[in-house]
Amino acid sequence: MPPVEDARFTEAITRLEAARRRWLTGGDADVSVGALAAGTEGGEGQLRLLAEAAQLRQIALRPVAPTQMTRVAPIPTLDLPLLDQALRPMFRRVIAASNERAHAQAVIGLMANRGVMAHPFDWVPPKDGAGFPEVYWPLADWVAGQEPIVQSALTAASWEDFSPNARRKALVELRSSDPDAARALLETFAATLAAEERLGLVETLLTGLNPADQPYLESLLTDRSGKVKTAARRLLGRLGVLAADDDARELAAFFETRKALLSRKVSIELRTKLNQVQINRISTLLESVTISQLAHALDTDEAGLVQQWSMKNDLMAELMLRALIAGASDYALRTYWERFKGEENTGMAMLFLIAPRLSIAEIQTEALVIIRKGRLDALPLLAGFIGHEIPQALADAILADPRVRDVFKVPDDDTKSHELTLARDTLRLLGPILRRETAIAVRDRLQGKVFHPADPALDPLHFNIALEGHA
Amino acid sequence: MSRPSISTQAIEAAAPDQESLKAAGKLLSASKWPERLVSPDGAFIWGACQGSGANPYRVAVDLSDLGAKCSCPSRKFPCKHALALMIQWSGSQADFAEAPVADWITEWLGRRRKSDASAASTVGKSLAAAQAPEVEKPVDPKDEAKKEAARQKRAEATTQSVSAGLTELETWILDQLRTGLGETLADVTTRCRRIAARLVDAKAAALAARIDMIPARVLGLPQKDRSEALSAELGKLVILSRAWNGGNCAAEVRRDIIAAEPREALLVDETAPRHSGVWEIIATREETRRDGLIARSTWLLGLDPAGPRFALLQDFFPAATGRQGSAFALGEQFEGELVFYPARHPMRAHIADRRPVGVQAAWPEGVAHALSSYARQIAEQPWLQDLPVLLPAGQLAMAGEALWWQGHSGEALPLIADRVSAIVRGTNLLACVVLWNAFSADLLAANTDLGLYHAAG
Repeated sequence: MPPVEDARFTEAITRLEAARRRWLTGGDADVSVGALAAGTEGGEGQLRLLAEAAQLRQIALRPVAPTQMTRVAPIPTLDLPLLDQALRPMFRRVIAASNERAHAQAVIGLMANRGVMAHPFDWVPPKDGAGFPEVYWPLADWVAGQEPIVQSALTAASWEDFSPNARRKALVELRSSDPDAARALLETFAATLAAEERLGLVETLLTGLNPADQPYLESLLTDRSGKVKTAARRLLGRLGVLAADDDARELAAFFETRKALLSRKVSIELRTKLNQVQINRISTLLESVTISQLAHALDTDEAGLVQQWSMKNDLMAELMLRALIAGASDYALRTYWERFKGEENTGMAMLFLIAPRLSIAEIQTEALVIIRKGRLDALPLLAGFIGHEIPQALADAILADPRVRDVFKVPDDDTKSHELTLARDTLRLLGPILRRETAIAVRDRLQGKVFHPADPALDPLHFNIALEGHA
Repeated sequence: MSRPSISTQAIEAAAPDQESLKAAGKLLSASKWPERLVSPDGAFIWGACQGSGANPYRVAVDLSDLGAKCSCPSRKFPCKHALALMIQWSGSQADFAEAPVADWITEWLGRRRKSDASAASTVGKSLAAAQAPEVEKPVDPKDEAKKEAARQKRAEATTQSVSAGLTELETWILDQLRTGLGETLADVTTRCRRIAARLVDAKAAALAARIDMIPARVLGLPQKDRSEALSAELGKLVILSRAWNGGNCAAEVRRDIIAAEPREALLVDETAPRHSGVWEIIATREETRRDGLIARSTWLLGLDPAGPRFALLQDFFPAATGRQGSAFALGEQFEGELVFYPARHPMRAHIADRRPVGVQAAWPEGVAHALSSYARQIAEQPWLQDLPVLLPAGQLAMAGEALWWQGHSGEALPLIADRVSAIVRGTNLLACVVLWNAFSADLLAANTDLGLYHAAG
């Protein structure tokens, strides 16, 4: 029984407890235990006793806290000022405009660029925090239920003190300065981790990958997780040390080398038209077979493979790009990209696949080429790779695109509802990635002409502009 | 900047029928409009219109096409409130203060489709006729006497009917005790539904609605608390029944058994307590009742540094009319006077007048030994169920799956865990408001080290 507020009630409550137990199974309770019921008979006594018990519980009993209670970990210190109170309703509308992670990354990235954080009551990062500014990682750890403990250096002694996000970040840093020490930590601790976390840490070997990593990577080829095995194969592929095996020979059997009659140009083509099962099999094999293995199985080398791979089949061309990104040398990848980017269907999404292997300047250059081709798909990701306020040249190119330009011409009437929907989508994409001055220029062209100033379509622009003074 | 005006013909054309125009004509008194605003570019007008409910209706009109939005449950479009707003704009634009477009209008704009004004017609609709004063019929004293006698007869019949219904309720409660509350719990929904239906027939509508909610209230608790909660609910029904039959039947008892007095009656009641000050909307809760009505409770916290005061605005609207927008945003503050229904501890209220607040007021400090104040209120109105309590500084803690509020001075309350967002659990609570019913606390709002938190309804 919980404690009693006033000792005078203790005895009464104990007695009424017996009555309550009687009613639970059914039957008349002893009315003599009640102050109001005593002396009454029949139903009247039972009703009085019931009323007395009900009121006594509310006024006299106090809840007792369990002895084993754990304080919920406090939200970590937020390293940037929170978004101004007045902007929070607009932020909530802007962030809710799309469920896509890339949209949230663009909006949150812009805010961090301008020196503010979202209020945690309005938005918190996903558990992994990947793709969001580092300032949110402690909060992501908190969401994941991990205590964010900041350590100066990752060592065998401090390994357990790091959260998964912090550990991944620290390992990448350690690989940059001391690759052997980082690998030694992995050799010691990786096997004790869950597959997903182990995979994330093994992938950090990409930073500073060198021949000394080969023995450890080869040991991972027998890892209990298929994903870890694949990651190890890809890294070994980067090192170019894997020999052709059965999978590589099976994959190579789908292709043949052909020589053009007149030009005598050699190309690697599909042997026959494929059904869906065969396409799926090729896709699966390309995830595990490295480029050097496939090249050997086709009696060529990495350079020959990327020069001769046919671009006639869009799907095969894209699968090769993905395979190269996953496990080929920079030279092979860039050589192939030079051929691939000229293809009509190469859009921004493809650029973002290769982006982690390019410098920011290279991404900007490649993005401009693709934007000028009129391919604006996956635009929100652009900011994630080149910074959250894109250079003016890129903004100009985007704004000059016919579909974006048409946004400015849409008349605000019901007959153009489809165009208005497109315009809203375009503004949602543009709002978080434009520089403030560009956002002001776009708003001034639209406000009051195409859209009412209060129209939520302009929210992304208004929000960008309102984040003044922090940049 | 010149602002667009609205012609009489345009209003007549927009009105769905003459009755709507006539109804709008009765809503033109400034006292019914605590808020009339216009956007800086003159594109929108909006305001709050005090209807018969506790919450005012939120009304907006797009002046470019007379498209309208109102939070009232009317199926007519535009409704009488929107028409009244248009009529006032056409009559006197000076009555409208300039203000930035409200967030709820921006959200509406994102969803709305432009209306086709070309199809509208003025045939059969006249604003002048709608606003013409009605000829009052001379009062016939004989008719009035007859009406009064009929009213008294109806009141007596209602009293008798309710008394009979309460006798039946007590018999039903005794049956539950004798057959066992364990058995009642296994069939609580059907059993409560049955006795509630009898009470509706006996004209005890408010009491019937309360009994209808017992299954949800009891079954929402942990298994170990259910039988005790059920006996407490039944015990309180006995107390309420005795308060009615005790001969000293106060208005507050009639209100909880039959229905509350209408707003108009409350506003002219000189015994009704009035409190002025700054009020904050701390929570809204909606419950769909078995009678097809949605009960919306809007909880207000009076921000008086001398100590907390709570108020409850209660509204009902048919579930069939769909979700109605709330008149207030959570956390919104206003300055104004509230009129409370007379009671030993007044809680339910209507807004008599309100004005925008200049500077946001701060929360009062939490009350030490808050449950003692709760106990005092229950001692005086023992049939009450949930009451708001302002708790002092504390933190949230887990005990297995259960969530608790823990005060720095040692007090603790079990919380309804799924009503508390994960993020607020990691904050330090400077003060918080919970609805407490002696079994579990529903966290409504909190003043945290990260600012004010308001739980979603």
